[in-house]
Order: sequence, then structure tokens, then C-alpha cells
Amino acid sequence: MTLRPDVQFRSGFPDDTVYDDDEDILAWPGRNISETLKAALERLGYRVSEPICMEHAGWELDILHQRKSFNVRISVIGANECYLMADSTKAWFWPDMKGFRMFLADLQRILEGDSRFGVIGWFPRGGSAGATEPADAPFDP
Amino acid sequence: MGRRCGMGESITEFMDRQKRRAARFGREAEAAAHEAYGKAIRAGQDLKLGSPGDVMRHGVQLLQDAEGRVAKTVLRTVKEADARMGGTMRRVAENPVVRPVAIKAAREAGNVAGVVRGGVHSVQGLVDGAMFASRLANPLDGLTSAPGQSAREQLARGAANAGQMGADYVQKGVADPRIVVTDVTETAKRWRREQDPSATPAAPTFGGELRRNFDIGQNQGELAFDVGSLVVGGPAAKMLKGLPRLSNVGNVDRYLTQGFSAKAATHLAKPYPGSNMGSHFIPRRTRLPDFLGGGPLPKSYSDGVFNVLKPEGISRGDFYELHYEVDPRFHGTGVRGEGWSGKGLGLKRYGPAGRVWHGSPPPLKARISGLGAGAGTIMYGPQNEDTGL
Repeated sequence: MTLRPDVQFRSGFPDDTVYDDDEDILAWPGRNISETLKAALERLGYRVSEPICMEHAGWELDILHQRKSFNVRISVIGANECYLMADSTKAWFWPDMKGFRMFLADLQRILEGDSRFGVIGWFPRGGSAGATEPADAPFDP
Repeated sequence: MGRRCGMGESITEFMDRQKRRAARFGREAEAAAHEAYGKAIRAGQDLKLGSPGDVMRHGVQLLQDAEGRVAKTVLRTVKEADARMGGTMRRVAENPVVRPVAIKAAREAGNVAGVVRGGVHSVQGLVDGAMFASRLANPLDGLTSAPGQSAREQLARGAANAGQMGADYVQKGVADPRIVVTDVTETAKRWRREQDPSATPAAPTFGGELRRNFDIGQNQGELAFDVGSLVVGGPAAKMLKGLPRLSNVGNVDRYLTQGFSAKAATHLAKPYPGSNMGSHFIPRRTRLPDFLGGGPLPKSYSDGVFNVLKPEGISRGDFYELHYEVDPRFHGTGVRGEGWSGKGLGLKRYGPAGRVWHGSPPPLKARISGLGAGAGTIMYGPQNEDTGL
């Protein structure tokens, strides 16, 4: 079964980019989205790091849950083109596919429950709307 | 910009957390004592807490009892988890099909860990070498060092010692050639034990066998890294900046023709700042297996020259293009209020082999050309249940 750990969405969040006087970026966009996601995951019992700045690539969250470890990156290109990319980060021996599927299902529930995430579709790694046929779920039932 | 604000914490943060914990513990102890006092009154029991100190001591005792119960529960849960894990391991060990796959996976995981270990050792060597070289070039080093400890004196002593040891060994070898033969044979045996799983007996337990294969895998990985060092030495690797590329720094027209405004095009034509984080070959989020500590990759490796792709003299726009082509998790970014989208520009991503070649920093390419392919393929593997993450 192929998993689709990437989501493309339209953002209903305000642009939180901060510029300096020379219009260079001081704070990259998407921190507010990351903080919203962090709060939602914590309500489901996940331990979530503060948003980690990945500069032009966006913001990341390191996530722990019952000895499982995940990572999510939020990238904001514009209000109509945003990405959320999830990973299971302990995949050395036997990848914990069941745990990762449960995490993706939780992510799906969070995104569908918040109208500010206008989900366009779920994709396999490296895909995007237009390049790959979007799906409405991270995996097939 | 605060780059790391995750679960790792500094000493100051740790101390602050401990202070907050102590303060919270005090408040909780006081509350627990008051609650117990209330219960005692309601139950008609005699509980004498004559002073604030008595209240605190009683509360601490109550909390410690509770903590003790929690600790016992946690211990029991850990033992149960261990027992369940042991059951899984036994089933894998008894399955003739799954067992060799697991052992092979352990050795391959060890290969990747070995590459990382080799990189860490190499970077440590670079730092030591650079510091030593700077001391050599410092005319005041002789004045500021303890007697006999200046860089020049150490170098002279080291060369003399090495020369003397070599001369002694040659003399002994001429007198008794069996010494050299024995040494070479022993060295070859040790190497074989470290690199070849069949050179040592299998471990008595399945867990031990996994560990043995992981260790051998690590040795193989580090050896591959070190063999690369024979071709490109450490300091030389650090100086290697990669093949010359056509620079688009200042070429605003290139980005105007891509459809950006003058403001955004000017920004894209500027050099990609050397202080920015670049593109990581092995991603920052990668965690080590539990038996290696389970934490993130060592920062010295993760942010070092062997893992970060950041070509010199590249424009911001060209760097974004390169990043898009080699990293399936990078789709684009914002540029002065406009969107920079790899898909929007019609860029194509490299396949696994292209990602390894174009996504690996030149020093890494030079040092581990063969094994790097394996590591990169693992890191950028497809999201498929059959092949793993």
C-alpha cells in the first residue's frame, strides 16, 4: 500500500512573514500554521516541539508519541499553495507503518476539522497537484 | 533567527526547568498537605500540622509516596513492554524467512551509521588539524604555550618519534622477519574480524546477532568512508568547493524572464548567503536508532561540510532550483511577497541516483562515492509499505 504523506492546501491563515528595513525576511511564513498544528496534535496526546525554522523551506515540528517519532514540515509558497509533509523519523529497522498510518489519520482529522486548511489533496512524496492525481486521504482504507 | 527550539535544551534551559519543577513541587506539596488536613478533619482523624514547616514536610511525604507508586507502575509497564518486545524478537528469530532479512537489515543500518561515524571522526580531525595549523602559523604560540608544548615543538617531536619508531621497526624486521609476518597476519585477521560477518562466530542470541551485524556494518561503513580519505585527504576535502558552475549572481534578467517582478528578481539574483542553512543530504530530522541513543544526528556531522549542500557563488534563485531538484520535501518558498514554486517554474526533480549525485556536497561525493549512493537511496526512498520509508 502506498502512503501519501504530503498534503497540498490553501491557507486561511494570515501571512506572518516579518521583514526587516531592507525587506529581507526576518521570520519566514508559516509559523502560525505550525503553532496551530502543534496545539491540535498536543490535544491528541502528542508531544510536540516548538516550531523549528528551516528558513526558505518552512517550519518543522518534531513529534513524539508512545516512543514513536514523527516530523512535519510546513511550507508556504503563497496562500493558494501550501504544503504539509509528514515523516516517520525512526525507520531504521522495521518501519512502524501502523504507527505512521495512525499519525497520518490523526493529521487528516485535524486538517479536515479546521476550515483554515483548505485541503487540495494528499500525495506520495515528491508529488503535487497537477503533477500527480490528488487523493482525498493519506492512504486507501 | 532561532534555528533550534525543539526538544533539545541548553544547560540554562535545563536549570530553569529544574527551578520551575522545584517551585511547582513546593506548591503541590503544600496543596497535598492541605488536602490531607481537610480529609483528616472530615474523617475525625488527628493530624497535627503545627507550623508551615510541618505542612510542607507532610506534603512532601505524601507526594513522595505518590511518586513511588508512579515509579513502580512505570517500572512494571517497562517490564511488560520488554516482555512483549522479547516475544516479537523470538517470533522473528524463529522465522527462517524473516530472520536473515532482519540480520541483513541490521548490517545495512550499520553501514549508514558507519558512514556517519566516519564523517564525525573526519570532521573532528579537520577541526583538530585546523587548530594545530593555526597554532603553527602563530608567531606567539611558542610564548603562550607551556615549555615543550608549542605546536612547532610538538610537530618536531612527533616527526622524530615517528621516524625513530619506523627505524626501530625496520631494524627488528631485518633481525627477525617473522615479527613483520606475524604483525601483518594479525592486522589482517583483526581487519577481517571487524569487516567480515563470517570471520567471527554467530552470537548465541538473536538480539546479540543483530547487534554483531550492526557493529560489523558500522565498521564497513566507516572503512568505506576512510578509504575515500586516501583519495582526497581531510583538509583537501574541506577545500573542495565543487565543479565550477555558471553563476547567475547579478543576472536579474534571468529571473525577470521567469515571471518575477523586478523586486523579486533582484532578490533572487543576489548570492545565496553563506550563513544560511543550505540543503541537508541526510535530513536534519533523521533520528538514530534507540540502541545508538535515539537522538538526532550529531550536529557536527549534520551541519558539517559532508552533509550540507551550499555551493559557493550561487544565486538565491539557482539555489532554490537546485534544492527543488534534489529534495522531494522542498516545493518552493516566498520571495518578496511572491511565490517561488518549483512546479510553477516547470522544474523537474532528479530521480534517486540524480538526487544522490547532485544533492550530496562535493566533499562527501569525493569521499564516499559508492556507499553514499546507498545512504542517499535509503534517505530518499519511496513511501511504500513494501520497501519501507
